[in-house]
Amino acid sequence: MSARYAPVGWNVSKIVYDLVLLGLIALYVGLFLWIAPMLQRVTAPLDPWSIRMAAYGTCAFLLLTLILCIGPLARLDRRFMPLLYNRRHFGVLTCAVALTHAAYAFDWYFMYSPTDPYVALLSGNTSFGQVQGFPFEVFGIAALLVLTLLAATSHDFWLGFLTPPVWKALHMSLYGAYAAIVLHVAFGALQAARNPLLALTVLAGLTTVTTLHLLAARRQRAADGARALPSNDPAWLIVGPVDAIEEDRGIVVPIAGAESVAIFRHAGRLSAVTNLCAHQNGPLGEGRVIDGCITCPWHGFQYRFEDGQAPAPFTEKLALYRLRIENGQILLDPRPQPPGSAIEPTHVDRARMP
Amino acid sequence: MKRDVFFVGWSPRSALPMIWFLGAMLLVLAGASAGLALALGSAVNDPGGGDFTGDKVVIGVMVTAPYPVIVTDPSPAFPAGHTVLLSGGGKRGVQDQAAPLAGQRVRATGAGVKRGEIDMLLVDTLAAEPGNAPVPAERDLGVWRLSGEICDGKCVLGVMRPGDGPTHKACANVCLTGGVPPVFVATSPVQGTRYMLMGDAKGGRLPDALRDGTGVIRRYDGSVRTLGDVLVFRADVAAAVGR
Ligand code: FES
Repeated sequence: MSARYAPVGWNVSKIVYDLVLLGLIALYVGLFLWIAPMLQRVTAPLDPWSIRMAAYGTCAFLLLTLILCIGPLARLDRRFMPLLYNRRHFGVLTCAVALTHAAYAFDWYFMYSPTDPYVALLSGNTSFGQVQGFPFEVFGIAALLVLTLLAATSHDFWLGFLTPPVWKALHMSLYGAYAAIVLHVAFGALQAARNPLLALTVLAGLTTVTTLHLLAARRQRAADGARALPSNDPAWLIVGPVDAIEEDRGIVVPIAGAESVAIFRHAGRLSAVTNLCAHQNGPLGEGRVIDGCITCPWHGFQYRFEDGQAPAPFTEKLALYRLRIENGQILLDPRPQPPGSAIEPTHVDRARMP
Repeated sequence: MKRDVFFVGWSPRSALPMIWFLGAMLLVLAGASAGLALALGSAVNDPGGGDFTGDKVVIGVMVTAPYPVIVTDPSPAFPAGHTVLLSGGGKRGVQDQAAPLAGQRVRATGAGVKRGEIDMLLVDTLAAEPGNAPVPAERDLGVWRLSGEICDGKCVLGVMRPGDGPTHKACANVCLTGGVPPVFVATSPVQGTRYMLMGDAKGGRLPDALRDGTGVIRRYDGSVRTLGDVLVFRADVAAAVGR
């Protein structure tokens, strides 16, 4: 996972994922380019460049819509987790499809003139003061720049270099790219479209993404454990009963003004670690203990239950927290211990339970 | 069952408990991809007619304003007095080659493009041709207020389909900047045609200010004249800008 950087750490899941994705893209583009034109009701067929622009453009929009649905879907139903596993390859492929759309548009509309094509791209339409005929290209260019930046920094090298919080914040700009693409379509193709289907598709995509995010946020609020409460001892917070944690599972404990903590139970013991996975800051508390290791639900990074260290040859370390059990209640010291400092897991001492 | 599933990417076996779910999801995605591709790919605007008509030889008199055209001699390909708009390769006009030949009998070769009654030649060669040809007299059809779209003549006559509308606006402007003759597509016909060559009020090249109007329907005042068998719409720039 992290011992060294390889261009892509392939495994069976990633290969299947990528093949399925490529198959779906090929199916969509193939039908759009070669079968759909036979169904068009037109005086003369559209030119091949315009059809390719529409095929790759709509494909990129649909792929991006799907990418943005994966996060909330996986929150709402764990059976969608496999979609999340290789989302970065999904993003890179989407960027490639969007670039193909842009390349056809650039070639068709801005080349072969006395004006330099890049100057033509930026100066061809400057009617910024009108809605009809607005230079919708600028939204497409903005989206493409973001998608390219995200694809270029998608590798784990950049994740390590930028640190997970910065990388994650940068990759949140995908939402900005989606908004820009919606505007690109709204001020471009939708201004020209005489058939409402494209408008309905964009609206449905936008509504689905928004609704799923709202539902997932509501589910998340309900699923988050209750906030830890102050105890008699100011250094410790009351988390709740020991029995609230199932064997080999974890809970997420939100801490006022600080990062959430994940508490796991395994083989009659409890261990508390930061809820942020060292990889991409995935929610560790939603993971499992597998083979004695806390396993992240996003990409399966593992950390030993005992000391929060990734097993060799990997090197990640999680910050641990001190725990105590009193009268069947878990008490947590919310100050993270330096990553790598060993804290003995706390034994669930049933004799002291009421 | 659903509660217990936990997928770990490096262990494909962990997907087994949800294999039916994943299979169903794949079917839904494939069905949606196919359905959307066919629906979106077929629900296109009709770009109208217009297409290449093959290699052509055009002989007639060269008129260079507002844009270069040849008003033809009678020939097997064209009737007498037919106006053929001229454009260069790519997004270029042929003003430079046409200017020295203004008012002369010329012979041009190239690829033909036609939409409705309007012909254009994408010029390969252009040279003086022996013999005289009278410059056709223009007929003034009066002042008109017309709604319509300023298009680049090359694309809208069929080189691109669609070659009009807002998505084509920047391309139309690049073509017009390069010297391709603009064609005004009126929303309702004038003397039986919706396609007119366009120029400014004085019969010169379309001014840059009118390029906000490419790709969208707007209203313009101006005079309409004949040039051979095409109409020329001389738009009043001052009145049109800002509409
Ligand atoms: S965020 Fe990637 S494995 Fe945890």
